[in-house]
Amino acid sequence: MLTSLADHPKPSHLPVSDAVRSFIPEGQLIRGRVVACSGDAALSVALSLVAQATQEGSWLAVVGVQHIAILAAVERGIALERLVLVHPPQQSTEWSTTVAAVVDGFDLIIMSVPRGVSPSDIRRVHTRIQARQSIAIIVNNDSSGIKSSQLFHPDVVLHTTTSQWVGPDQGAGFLQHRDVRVQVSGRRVPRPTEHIVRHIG
Amino acid sequence: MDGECHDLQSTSFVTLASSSSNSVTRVAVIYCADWSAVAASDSSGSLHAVVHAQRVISCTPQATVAGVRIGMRRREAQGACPQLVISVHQPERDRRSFEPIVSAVVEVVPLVEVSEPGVIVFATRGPSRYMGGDDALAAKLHAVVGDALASAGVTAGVRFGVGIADGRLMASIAARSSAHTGAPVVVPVGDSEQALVELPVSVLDDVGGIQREVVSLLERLGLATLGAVAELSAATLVARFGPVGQELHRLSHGCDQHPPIAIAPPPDRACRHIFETPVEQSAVVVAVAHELAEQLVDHLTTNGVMCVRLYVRIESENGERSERVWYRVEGLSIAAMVERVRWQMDAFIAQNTLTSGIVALRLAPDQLRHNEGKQLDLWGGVTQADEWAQRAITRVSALIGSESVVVPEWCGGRDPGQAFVLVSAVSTDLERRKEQVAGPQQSWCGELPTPTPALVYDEPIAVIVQDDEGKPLLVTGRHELSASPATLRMASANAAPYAVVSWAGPWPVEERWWDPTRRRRLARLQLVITRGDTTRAVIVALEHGQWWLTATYG
Repeated sequence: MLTSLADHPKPSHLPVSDAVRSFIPEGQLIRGRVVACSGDAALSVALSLVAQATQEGSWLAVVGVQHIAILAAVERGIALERLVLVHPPQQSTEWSTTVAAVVDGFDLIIMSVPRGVSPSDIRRVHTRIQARQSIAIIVNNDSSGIKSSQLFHPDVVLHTTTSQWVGPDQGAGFLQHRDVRVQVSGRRVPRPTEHIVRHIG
Repeated sequence: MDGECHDLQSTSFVTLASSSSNSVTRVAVIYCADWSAVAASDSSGSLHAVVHAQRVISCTPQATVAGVRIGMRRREAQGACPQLVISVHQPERDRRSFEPIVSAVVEVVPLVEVSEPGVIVFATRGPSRYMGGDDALAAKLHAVVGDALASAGVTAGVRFGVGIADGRLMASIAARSSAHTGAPVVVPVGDSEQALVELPVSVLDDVGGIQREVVSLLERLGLATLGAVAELSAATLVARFGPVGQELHRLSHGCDQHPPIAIAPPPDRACRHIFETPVEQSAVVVAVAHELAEQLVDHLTTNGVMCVRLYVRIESENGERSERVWYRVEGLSIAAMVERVRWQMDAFIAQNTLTSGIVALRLAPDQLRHNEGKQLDLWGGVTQADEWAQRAITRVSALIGSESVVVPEWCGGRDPGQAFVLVSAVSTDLERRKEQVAGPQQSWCGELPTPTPALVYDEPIAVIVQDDEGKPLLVTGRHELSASPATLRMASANAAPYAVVSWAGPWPVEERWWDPTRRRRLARLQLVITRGDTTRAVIVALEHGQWWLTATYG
């Protein structure tokens, strides 16, 4: 595996769509990094982050994310033929073995970290992500699991807060898009920034 | 390695190395009509149809009598026959329920090929010598299959037939006509080409695997029978139809669709794995099969050929063995080979004759054809990323079970949670995913407007929606709200209520109003709710007087 990696060096980053480029640091997804998405648009933003890369041939594994709607993934532009959903066991060691095996084969991983995963298991997965040069996106869409995901020391943290929904009007219309405040911070972001983004979905 | 090939040829099946490209193998076909519907229906005399992507793909004879036809839309079929029981297409179920019939036939003929559930194919040379002629063999098989169907609990409703002829096409046609008459059909040696002459070209579509458009074009060109096609030279057909012309020429002369390769096979084409310690888990065998299939396909691809028929043998420590031949006219990819090993392994376990662990697994290409280089990607075939991902899928499935690694497949529906079903990733052919995930472009009536919420709950959460005065919100028979929604709170917890900022809808759904047990009537609303400094958009649905939180824009 290592020799084949050396033979065909991978490009150091994956493409993102124009809408995402406006707020993601350095305008692209950099391999080997961990991005954490939190707040009330976490999953939707995570799907938008990876959509362009799946269109261009990268495989996406969604690991342990409950209740994800496939139709929403389609609408964000994810190439479904390269999407695989994995439901890993919740027990710490088994979880890390499974996720490490997933990381081996996929460029992009969207995952939720279950409660009670030990720091050493997290470190093991993190090391594998860096060695294999994958990109992990950790989604916290509810309060559970926040602590475990912080153990990852994410390179980029995207915290989303919806400021306004546009569309419904006391019985008329329908939801069309929303204005999301994205606070960008993290280990690799020297100066935290804040963006207001018009986000669909 | 020489020994390996010799070993393979000693089974009566293989005629490959000696055959010239036009010689035709004598083949027997056992055909059970509409197997999917038979497998899905539980009692005789039932009106049953199997639906895939909203089209009927198989139905029981009783349903055919009631006016249901293959290819109908689900709605049309229900219109033609309101009592029709409809089930979803489950290839695994078909395969599993066909297994008793296959094992009964294997008692008579050791090595058979199951190309699809409901069809068994094998070469008759050895078996018919043993039985004393094709007629005796056909009669024996007919009795065996009849008994097997009866003892498997499948009753007289199923039509089945046995056909023996030269070449796959004629044997399949003979089996089908035998299913109609109820007696085995044997076409004498050398008569098959003559028997084909009178047949209409539509059999090429039904049985031969030629695309419907091509067959329809033949009809419009005035070539109504196979005899008329056979009179044309191969060059003429290729000039008009391209590569398909070659296939038409071969089929109309009673040959197989693709010429088998007559050259001596490359020496190390049989792949074999000996397990050092007997293996009890079928997942491990499947994982090894993946490695073997990779080596095999790699080797074949470098030689410019592909495998259309694969011989698989699994041996246990106590000497039980399972031998099968698998055929796929488009050629077997790595994923397809692994899938077939898994099926065979499942069948082996289901027979209950297995008393010890598996010690040896062997894959050997049994029939090859030239790789016409179906170009999938810029550099041909599969990218590095595809390969890595497929390897990881096999590995993770072996680790945590194949039901925990799933891929979506389109099935359609008006709720965001219904549009896709999740199927096990190892049992799907990942190289054909594009067709499985693509739905038709039209939208469903009653669909919610886009964007779709990212979180859809499998089990909706009970909530209480009230109006300004604290009265429960209702929807009238004309789908109008009793008042504007004002608050929402979870029914289970005593948490503070959310205030409704804004709302849209309702979008009513009335499903299956003609069926008292399965009817559904609900109304859906989009709500923007707020509590403290959080604002969320959700979808709530009212059914049987109770509001449910079904999705969140997460």
